[in-house]
Amino acid sequence: MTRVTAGLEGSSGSLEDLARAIEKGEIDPLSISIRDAILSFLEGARNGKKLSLDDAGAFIAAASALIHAKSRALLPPEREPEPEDPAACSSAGGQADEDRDEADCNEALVARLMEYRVFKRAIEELAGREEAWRAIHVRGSLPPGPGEAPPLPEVGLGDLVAALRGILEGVAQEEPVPIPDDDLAIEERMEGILSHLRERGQVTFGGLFRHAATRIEVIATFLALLELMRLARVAVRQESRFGQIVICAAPGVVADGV
Amino acid sequence: MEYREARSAIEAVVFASPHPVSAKDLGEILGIDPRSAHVILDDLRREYDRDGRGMQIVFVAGGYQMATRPEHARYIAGLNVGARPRLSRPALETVAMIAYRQPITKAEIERLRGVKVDAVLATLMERGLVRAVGRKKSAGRPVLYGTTPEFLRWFGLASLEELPPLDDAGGSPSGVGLLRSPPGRLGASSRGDTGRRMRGE
Repeated sequence: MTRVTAGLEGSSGSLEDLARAIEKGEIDPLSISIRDAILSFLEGARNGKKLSLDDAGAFIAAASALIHAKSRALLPPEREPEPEDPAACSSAGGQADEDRDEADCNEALVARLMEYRVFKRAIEELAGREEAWRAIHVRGSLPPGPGEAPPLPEVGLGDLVAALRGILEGVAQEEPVPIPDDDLAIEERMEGILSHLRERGQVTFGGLFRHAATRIEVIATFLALLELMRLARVAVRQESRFGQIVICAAPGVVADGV
Repeated sequence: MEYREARSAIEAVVFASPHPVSAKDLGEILGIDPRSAHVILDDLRREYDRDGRGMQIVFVAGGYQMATRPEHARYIAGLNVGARPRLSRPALETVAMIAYRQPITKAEIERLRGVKVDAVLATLMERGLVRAVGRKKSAGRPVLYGTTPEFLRWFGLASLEELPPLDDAGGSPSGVGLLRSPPGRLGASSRGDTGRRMRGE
């Protein structure tokens, strides 16, 4: 088993490393001692090597794949093709097929390991493409999603905070700051917003603060709005880019678009 | 139709279209030979490049589309209209496997990835990158999944053939290849090989 240990030595023992070793013909997957592989992995982990969660996960995945292959090899050959996947390791039966069956399993494992590795490279490249393409904008860059695009774009927290800044600038800076009675103020404001919506259907962001004279009232109203958004009681939309922000009642749950 | 008129019309149609327009479509719309549309688009692209315009014409998902240049991304970000989301790692891996192995069943994806993919698959479908394309003719008739044109647009690919090759030859420095030809055919135009690549479609 030294050969095997050599294949895993100095590596995390991940599926990728395993695949590489198998590819080079260093390892016959069914000849790998799981015990050795695990011991070598643990040894590596103990010898001060930094153990990342990813490595550990990859190792467990690799070990399970091996255990799976080995346990299959122990079973008598199946008499019927698997309904799920007829191409899988099944055989028409008969003792002569047993060897072939095992070889098939063997091949399937190698194929799986190889496929994983082959994908890994392509995935990195695709990630790079995604990143590069994000810098390029076409009309309506944002994906339209599953069905009809919502009539009004949804508003993010950043937009709201920016809008709040505008409101706060309009409120007198110097003022005696009243100590809030208790946190009921926000609940009251929430109820206030909801009752307003029940009457009028919708309210503009600016309209929400029309009667707020002090900064603390503005903040309380804003927090109430955030809470209502969190509870999905209201939907906040913008009429257009740079348009007015409109708050309306949410009869259903407002799904997060992105 | 005169050349100048056709060029002007093509520019307008490509600009107005919400999705990439193929040369074939342009040919039909304008009543000209699609090959002429190709040539005109080629000229237009060169013109945009030569004049250092903020826009470029890219070839993605089988059609031409007006797009901004990547170097202006940071200014566009200044608009504060929200950035395009990025796929999570599991979503990226899953959509890659679907792209290369389509049509593919959920069970097959799960065997490749070694984990359950229900949630990831739902996200990908919600974003319109993946769709059900049929049912496998096997027991249970499981749904087969494939990628959508939106997938190509997401990664700036002209077609599925443009997916990074799945070569398992150890020596291929795919990273270098990516640098040499950035997504889709952008940038390629400034290196003078646009015409060849376009006609080579």
